[in-house]
Amino acid sequence: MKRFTLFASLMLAISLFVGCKAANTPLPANAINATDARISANLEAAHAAVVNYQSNVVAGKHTPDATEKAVVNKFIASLNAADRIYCGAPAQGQPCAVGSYHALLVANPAAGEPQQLIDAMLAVTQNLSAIQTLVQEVK
Amino acid sequence: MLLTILTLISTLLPAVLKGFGVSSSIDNLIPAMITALGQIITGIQTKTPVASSLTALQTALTALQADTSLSPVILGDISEGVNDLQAAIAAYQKAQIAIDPSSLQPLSEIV
Repeated sequence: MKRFTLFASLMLAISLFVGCKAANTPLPANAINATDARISANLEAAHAAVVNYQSNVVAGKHTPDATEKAVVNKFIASLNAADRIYCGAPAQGQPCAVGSYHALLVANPAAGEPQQLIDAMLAVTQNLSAIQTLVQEVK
Repeated sequence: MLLTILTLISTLLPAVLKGFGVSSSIDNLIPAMITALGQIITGIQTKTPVASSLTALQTALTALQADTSLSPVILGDISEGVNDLQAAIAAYQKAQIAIDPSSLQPLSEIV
């Protein structure tokens, strides 16, 4: 039943990755456009959930079994991949790496979302399908 | 794909939880959580914010947390889920004011 936590976390992730920012709300500070704001907010929230989950594991409040670890780690790997494409490591005094989507937007606010980033975000979402296996195992 | 996953979750979960002898509260709240997810799906088309849906999920989990008929083990897991949600909601709300892409440092794997 430890998997209930994972279920809740994954539901959260689902909600984050399918959610869209309201069309008429003001842009948050540092956001270049609405897409930039949405992607960053989603990734930041997903990060917070994972960091919180990890802290519970490190503190011994939660002990995932091998299956849960594998699912979570796959999710984390895809999240890291999406992060790299969206921003990456800060470089040259800028918050994001040269060539990242955010850096691209800084140079050209009209730049469209690259297919690579769309695919990366999709991969994160697809990793959630592991919950089906977990639920069936619990059953 | 996403709809398939959600359909499977909504189909399987109540039965799974019943298998653990959990209370009627879960029977009532899980559909509420699924409904919240349904609202999120609708949000794909209407571009509505996810904050209200996140809050709905948190409300459902918090209600489960208060169900004293559940086993301590399940309550512990629910508490962790609430905790994870709260962290995410806080980060999401913070990002509605100002985003911080540079905060997206690589996450380590669970060992």
